[in-house]
Amino acid sequence: ARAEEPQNAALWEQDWDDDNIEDDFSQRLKAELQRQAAAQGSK
Amino acid sequence: VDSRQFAPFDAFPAAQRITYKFYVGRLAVFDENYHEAQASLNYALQHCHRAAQRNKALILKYLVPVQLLLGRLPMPALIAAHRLHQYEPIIAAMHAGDIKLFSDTMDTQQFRFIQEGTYLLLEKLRYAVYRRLLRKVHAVHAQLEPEKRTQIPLLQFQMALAMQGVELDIDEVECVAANLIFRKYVKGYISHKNKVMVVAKADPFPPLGSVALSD
Repeated sequence: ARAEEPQNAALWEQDWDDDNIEDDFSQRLKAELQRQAAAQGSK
Repeated sequence: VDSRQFAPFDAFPAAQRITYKFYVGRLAVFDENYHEAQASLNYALQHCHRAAQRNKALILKYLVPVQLLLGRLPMPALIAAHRLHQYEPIIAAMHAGDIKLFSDTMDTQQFRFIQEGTYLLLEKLRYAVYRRLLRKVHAVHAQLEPEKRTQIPLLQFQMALAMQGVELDIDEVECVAANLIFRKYVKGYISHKNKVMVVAKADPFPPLGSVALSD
């Protein structure tokens, strides 16, 4: 009898390391960088 | 065992084959041969009897950190099914590039991870977490200043770390960046004078599975 898990391929996520910046941290980082750029521009 | 004078591997009972692969996999971890560890432990997991939940959890305890090193995250269902909750904050830190969460977890869980024999293996994920954070900085920077997308100011990396509550001075940040390049997690070079990390235009962050991990 085959005791393999047929769903093995679905156990691991591979394409998570993307350039998506929709997450909360990236958005905060973006806001902070924009704020600093604006502060430097006004000097 | 791979010798031709030896009986063929498939001639042995499944239980012996699985036990053998489990230990070959664990040995490969010590030799920093992570692709072999991945293949052997995966074999053990896949051939393990459906009902042998305890053995599966044991195999996964070592397979999960190896897979993480090679850039594969376990699905939440897999973690839940085998009660590998100790890895949840590590996985979250890796996904988010959250160095603070990673460091805190390694500190608070240190005793447990050492006991389970996975501490040193997990510690190797630190640079993958740094890289994930740098990748986010790179992506945000690229959106704000597309014409300078390959030039990441180290100050921005430092700021991202500070936002997580990780205070590093600029030399320490440069050291992390240099290590990321040296370990081939990032393709690029550092302009020490300008405090800028210059990354490759094409594919600056190669897949973790292709990165050389041995020190």
